[in-house]
Amino acid sequence: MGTAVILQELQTLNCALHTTREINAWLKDAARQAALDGSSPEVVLQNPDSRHNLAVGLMTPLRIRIDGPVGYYCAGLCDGIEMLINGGCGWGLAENLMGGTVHLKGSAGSAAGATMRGGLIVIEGDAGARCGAAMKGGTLVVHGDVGFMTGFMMQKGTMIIGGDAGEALGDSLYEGKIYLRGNAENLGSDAVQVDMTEDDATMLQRVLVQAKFDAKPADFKKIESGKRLYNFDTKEKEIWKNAM
Amino acid sequence: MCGIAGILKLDGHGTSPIGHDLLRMATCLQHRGADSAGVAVFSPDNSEQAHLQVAMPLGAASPNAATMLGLGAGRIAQVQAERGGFSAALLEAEALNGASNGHSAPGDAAFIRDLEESLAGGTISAMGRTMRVYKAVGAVEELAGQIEDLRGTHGLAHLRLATESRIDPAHAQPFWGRPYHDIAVTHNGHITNYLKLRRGFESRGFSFASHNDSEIIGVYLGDKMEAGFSFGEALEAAARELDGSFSFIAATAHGLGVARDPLATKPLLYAQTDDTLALASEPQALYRVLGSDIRIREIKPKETRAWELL
Repeated sequence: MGTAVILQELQTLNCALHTTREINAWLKDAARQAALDGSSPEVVLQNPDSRHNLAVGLMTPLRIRIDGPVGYYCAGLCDGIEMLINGGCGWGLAENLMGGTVHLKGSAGSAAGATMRGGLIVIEGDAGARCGAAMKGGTLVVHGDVGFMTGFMMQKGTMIIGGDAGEALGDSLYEGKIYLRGNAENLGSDAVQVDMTEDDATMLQRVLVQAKFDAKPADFKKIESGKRLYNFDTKEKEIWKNAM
Repeated sequence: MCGIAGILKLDGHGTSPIGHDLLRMATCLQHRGADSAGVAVFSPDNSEQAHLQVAMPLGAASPNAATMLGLGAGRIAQVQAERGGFSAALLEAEALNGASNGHSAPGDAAFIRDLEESLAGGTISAMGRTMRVYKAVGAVEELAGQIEDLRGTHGLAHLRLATESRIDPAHAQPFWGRPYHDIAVTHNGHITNYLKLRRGFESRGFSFASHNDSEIIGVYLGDKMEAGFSFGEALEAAARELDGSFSFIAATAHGLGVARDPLATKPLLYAQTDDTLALASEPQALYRVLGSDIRIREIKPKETRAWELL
């Protein structure tokens, strides 16, 4: 029985009865079907049981709800999906997300949103280490705390952190903006706090509403690159030392 | 990758189904490593007499009972065949176990060396009063029959994805912190200053059962506790002195402890209810034994922690 046939009968899949490959093929078929008939069905995954690699590589729009905790790399390499996860997740949530939204009700492991290029990721709980590392675009919102080296080598995009941050926030970031409501244990190499502008406040107001996050823009501080690492003299030992 | 897990009944109830719980946790972590599996179970019911367990090389038969009784200079008795080896009572346990902190067994280093020399490649995989270690090459279901009914207060599990050193019972985890009684460690990661540390211990007369870097951790902890460190202090020292990537769970007769390296590239989560603490590489193992209504937390980078039995 092909997965397309299964989909015609079901909008809900019990993960416990299928391999990860079958689940992802079923989701891809669902997305293809939705594109063909112009519909926007919501499909539901049940009993995910912290399974790794769920809903990866979906390149056309689909509304997905996952009822329970997911494992590593959920929603990785996706574009245009609208996902709600009623649970926590392991490492690498929505890595390299190109577009669409991923909303996590629980907490995330390390490297959530790493290398994301577009779209919106919302984490209602906390996120672990290396959150948003090497971000290249899009918006990442964490209601709670983030772990160490968050925003490491971030290149573009916006990160909004409602809680506190671990060590080395924004280490060696090139571009992109980090908004932090709580405190960071320390800022990473060449990450500096700058004044908020009116544009920042307007943007924050809009995104906070979108992320269903009840917070005031005025409570955030802004961190961005000091751009001292763009060009530096190898003789500048102090910068070298910090950069390493 | 490797999967690690630990469970502790905080009330010190020695009849808890630790073997069953570890099996459930290990089964859902199986995808993290299928080269070998192992558990360590601590039970005060075993505490009357010290014992040892021997793992024979794959495919090698244990010596027959009469031969075994002749081994170890008359210090072993009540030899029982186990899967892949045998166990035996260790005589004169009181005299051997007389050190102040209860972890040490003076004189055992020489005893271990002599016994292993007569074992044709067999290695002692555990020694102590409360600890039993069971290991198998392959998936954890290989161990199911042996561990399902084990009861105790706490225990460890390991699923190995081998990235260095041999795949055989001697290189399976949890590792015993030889020669110290009742210390075991389950580790995910690599200890990069292992050879340097090992040479230091060898120059002091210590021997090792394997060429696996993880074996150093339990030895290190035992050595520190022998020198008067508390369990928590020994874990702090290990986190400072070990180099590489590590998330490990250590167990003594009195509880569990953890340490994580500063970069925290190996996962370690935990959750606690009124009577049970559980630790694991991935959350589903915690849900299996504690139910879905738990708050899961992560051991932080550089963090060490110890939980003692009441």
